[in-house]
Amino acid sequence: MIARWSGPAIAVAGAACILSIVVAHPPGDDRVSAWLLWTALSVSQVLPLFGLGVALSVIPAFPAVLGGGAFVAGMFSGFAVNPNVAHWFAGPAGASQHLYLSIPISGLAAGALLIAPNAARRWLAPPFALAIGAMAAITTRLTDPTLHDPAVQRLGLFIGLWIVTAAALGMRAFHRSWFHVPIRILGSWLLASGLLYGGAAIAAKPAAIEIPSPKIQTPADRPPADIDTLFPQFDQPETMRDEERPRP
Amino acid sequence: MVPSFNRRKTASAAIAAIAFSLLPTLAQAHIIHSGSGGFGSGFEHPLTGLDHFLAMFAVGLWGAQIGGRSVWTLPVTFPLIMVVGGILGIAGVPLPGVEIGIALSILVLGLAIAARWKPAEWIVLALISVFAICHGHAHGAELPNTADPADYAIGFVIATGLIHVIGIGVGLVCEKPYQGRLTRILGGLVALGGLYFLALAVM
Repeated sequence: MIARWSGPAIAVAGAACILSIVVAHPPGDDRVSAWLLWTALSVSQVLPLFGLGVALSVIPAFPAVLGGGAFVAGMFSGFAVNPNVAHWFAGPAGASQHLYLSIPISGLAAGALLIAPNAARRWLAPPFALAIGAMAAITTRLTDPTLHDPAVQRLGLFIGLWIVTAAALGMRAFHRSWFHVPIRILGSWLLASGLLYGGAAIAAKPAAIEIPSPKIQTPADRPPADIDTLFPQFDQPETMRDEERPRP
Repeated sequence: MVPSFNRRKTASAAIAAIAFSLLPTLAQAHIIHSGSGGFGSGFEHPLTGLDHFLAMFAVGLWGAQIGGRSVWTLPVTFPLIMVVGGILGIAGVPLPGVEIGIALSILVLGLAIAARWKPAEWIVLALISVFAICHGHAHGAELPNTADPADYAIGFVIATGLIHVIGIGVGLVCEKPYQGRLTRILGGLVALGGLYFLALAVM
């Protein structure tokens, strides 16, 4: 009974915690609260974590626990690593938008894990969970609105663990034999969105602004100018009326 | 012959499933938008064109009709190959006759369902891969500069996948009553739609 309902209970408890944070600190007034609601819980962040949880729910208990541990280790390593590492992925266009490919990489890892054959999934789970955890931590660091508040990292870790644990325990408790069909379809969605997003970032060329090259004039190009012909009005007497003045 | 209660129940479920499959096109104006170019915008994109909707629905329907592994291999393969076409479209690689390809995809898929054609899996996958390239290219070429490309891509892929899932659901429900004639009728209707789009593309 406890094992069956632990997943949904964790899901409800986590949602209640997030709700209490948002109510206590309205997103309009608090940057961390706004980040929590619009960035940390955005579809692009939640879906790979949910995919990892689903993948852990369909493998035996030991590799699943190992995968969960690897996810936490990945998150800590992502927080500990030098932020300059993310700049290795700065090549593709719009690197700041796709957070140095951290979102497509976690989507691809979760999608590949879900679509893999059952026998391979248990071996792939720990390394892929490590990668997803590291990418989640890098995303948290890159989107941190405070730049230094350790509370944001703790919140990122909490959200990651919450989604993965709730999905893994909930899906494991209510497992059905036909789950392999929606699991693979979900995997293909994660793979396709990761490929589309990452591929679009690599394939898209930022439109270059066409600036006409300035015509460089050397003194030799210019005709010899006579100073008297350049400003003829200066040679006119002061008494001349305006309409009589030569137009330049 | 009076249908039995179970048969009647299944027939009702089939009608409900067909009605449900029409919902996305009817309800497209009610999709929640998460801002310009976000999840909502990406989700809406595959639903706005009837040609894309029909083809993706037919992929799910055909997979369910063939049965076995095809129930999931078809809807898994289609979005993955569609991405290749999408990236080609984004990169500006020209693909001549893409509109004709899209119309042909609807026609061929509809005819395959109507004729209850069940070829080897690799033939089915090869066929839908060609069609997926055409659909992906058209979407990729139209891909706007979005405010949130990650959410846009995810919304786009999920909407595509959901149309497949609706097709699978309708197909699985319609396969049981009347020896699968409902599925074949749906296939015929899809083929008619394909003819219409082919005429539009050629003219």
